Amino acid sequence: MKNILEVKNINKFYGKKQVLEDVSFTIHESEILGFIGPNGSGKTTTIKLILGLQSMKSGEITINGYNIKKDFSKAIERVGAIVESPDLYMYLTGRKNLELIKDMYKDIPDGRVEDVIELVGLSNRIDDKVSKYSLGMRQRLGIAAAIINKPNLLILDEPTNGLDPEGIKELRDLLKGLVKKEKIGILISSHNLAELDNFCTDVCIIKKGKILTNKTIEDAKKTNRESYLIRLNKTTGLKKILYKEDEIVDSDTIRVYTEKDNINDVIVKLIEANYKIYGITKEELSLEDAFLNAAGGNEID
Amino acid sequence: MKLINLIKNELIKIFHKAGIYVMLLIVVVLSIIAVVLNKYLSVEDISNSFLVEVKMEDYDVKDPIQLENYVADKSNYETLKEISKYKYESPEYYYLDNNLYDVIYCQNRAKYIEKNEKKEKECSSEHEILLANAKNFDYKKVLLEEKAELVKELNKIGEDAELTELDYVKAKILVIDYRIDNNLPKTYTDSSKEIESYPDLYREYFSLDQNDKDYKNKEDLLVKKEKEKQLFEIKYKIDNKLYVSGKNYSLRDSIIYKFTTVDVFVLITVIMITGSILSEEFNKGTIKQLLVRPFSRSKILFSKLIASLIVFILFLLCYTVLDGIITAVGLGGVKEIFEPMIVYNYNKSAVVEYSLLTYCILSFLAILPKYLIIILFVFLVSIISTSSSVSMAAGYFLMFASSIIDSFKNIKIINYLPTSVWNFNDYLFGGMSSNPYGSLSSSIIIVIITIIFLIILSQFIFSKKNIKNQ
Repeated sequence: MKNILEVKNINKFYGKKQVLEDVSFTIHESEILGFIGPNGSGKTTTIKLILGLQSMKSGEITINGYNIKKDFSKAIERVGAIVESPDLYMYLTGRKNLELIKDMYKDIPDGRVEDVIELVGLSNRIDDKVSKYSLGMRQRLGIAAAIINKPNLLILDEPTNGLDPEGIKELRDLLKGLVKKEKIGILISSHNLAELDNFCTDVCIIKKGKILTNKTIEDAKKTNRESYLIRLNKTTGLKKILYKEDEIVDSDTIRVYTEKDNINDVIVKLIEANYKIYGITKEELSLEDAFLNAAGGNEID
Repeated sequence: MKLINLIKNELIKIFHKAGIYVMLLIVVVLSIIAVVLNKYLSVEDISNSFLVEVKMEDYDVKDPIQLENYVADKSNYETLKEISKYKYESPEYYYLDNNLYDVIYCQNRAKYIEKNEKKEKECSSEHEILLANAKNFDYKKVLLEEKAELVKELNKIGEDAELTELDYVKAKILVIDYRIDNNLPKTYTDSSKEIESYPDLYREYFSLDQNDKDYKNKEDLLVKKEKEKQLFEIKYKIDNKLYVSGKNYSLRDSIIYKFTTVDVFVLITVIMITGSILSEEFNKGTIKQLLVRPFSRSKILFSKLIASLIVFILFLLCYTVLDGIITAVGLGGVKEIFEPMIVYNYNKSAVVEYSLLTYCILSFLAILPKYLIIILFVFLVSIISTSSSVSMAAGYFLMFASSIIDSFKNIKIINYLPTSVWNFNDYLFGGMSSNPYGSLSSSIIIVIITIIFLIILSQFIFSKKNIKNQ
């Protein structure tokens, strides 16, 4: 698979304070990298370095094989981005905003503006001034602006800010469609793990300027053992039967960590101890859980 | 091609904002006010309407000095009261303004100080004659009387007198003849005042040393050159019969003004546009959208600079056209804008005719460096501060500081500052700068270095600028 974005050992200081330490990751085509970390962990700074908006002390960033420092114009040519918030001219209409951006690229066909308006579903309001838009509409216009140049790398900094659950779902579907159709790579940052679940192909977690883990979702989930939720008539007196790591969730549910093949033994044990079993469900590990584990703590935010 | 797109985008953004239209509205309103005032009121008319009657009770008339004051003030008051019946620019006003006071004073003096009834009556009848003359004013008759006096004087001086004195009287006669031939009564209009100043200018100029090299002091030379210019321009206009009554230069003057002076409204607009074109993008965060495009930062910067300059020129032209239309409608003078400008060229020691357009372009090029340096300075401050208000304040500061600095011209170093040399108006048509140390070449060098320095520094800072996190 082709490398679209390569971030190699970047270090960044604000004054004497180091805000990024040896940050490295890669995005290949058709890859959606969730870039996750609490506020102030260095997500936006990393994104700004990738886009050449700030200078770094050391390290190397290449986009489509072009170094961002030495070959800025070529490197940035096929990038679309929203940084911090969709930066739009409030006193212009949505369409004018898009046209201004379109004019900064060569070879964008005239119909492209209409296409992206359609894609983000803003056709009805596109000739209104952006100042009259809701936050969600601005976010969608921001995405239209980011994809107007048909980028193969899309960088979205907290794109779900201001979107309602419906909007978040639409955004996910839109991005998934883009990845499928145009094989683009996406870097999407968030401080909210749950939003990126079932959506990213890869995840990179950053805390205090350092990358904690960087792997595919599947790998991340695999490193955790399977767990089952068992509903019982009561949960008292279970300590003797269960293993140390098993948990009592509440008065009628327990969580058992075990392999698929061993689940029978657990059930037999419970029945022998006169517990009534009302149900068993295999627990799907959420991205959040996976990374709380990976980060070795539960304080992502 | 792509740079043009960027410039176009910048212009679209500026023209979609209210700022420039608000400024246009302001100048339109102000020029309407100016035209209305000009048409219906003159400063003299206004001040005359505030006349306060002079009363004897207010003076201690037993004191001879106070009595003198009373007579003088009263005469002045009575004169103005009579004069203010006429329009300031009318021949009658001029006539009475120059003759009435003396007879009224004579009358009052005879009455209150000399207590001489006979004299009072004499003066009083003279007073009546003057008023009657003004009522049915025949300026030619008055001019002919004046001429007769001058001819008498001329004969009296005879051949013995100094040449300049003789020529002075001749010049006066020349002016009167010209007035009679061309229907140009004496008034307080600009052209009448100009032609009236001719004899005095003539005498003053020819009493000065004619050789520039003899002047040790630059200020004296400047005085001489200024007189030379005025004298020859007036002479040229007299010789070519360019002073004709009924000419109306209101429109032409309003156009010329825009291109010969750094107009405060144009400057405020330019500072506003330049001060916000970059810093606003920083404040609103939109700068990021601009910088993640396939352009080098210097291209982005230059597109903004060029857009500012285009808006500056467009605003100046719009302002000139709008103010011109208002002036033309209110005060007239359309025909006169096609008349040539009469300009004395020092290098040729001759008067040259320029079309209004050529004259305006040349004058504008002479003041352009001042505009440019202010624009670039504001631009630089906006890059450093990323604040519209700070950069606008810096622009206004430079505007005012330069005039304050100007008053310290006796300090040598001050004269080499860009703000002291950025106006080339003095040098136009072979002129000489009032700057005691400046020369044309040194001024050009200083201005060019300043402009290049400001551009390079802006470019350097902008290319290194980190876009801070919100």
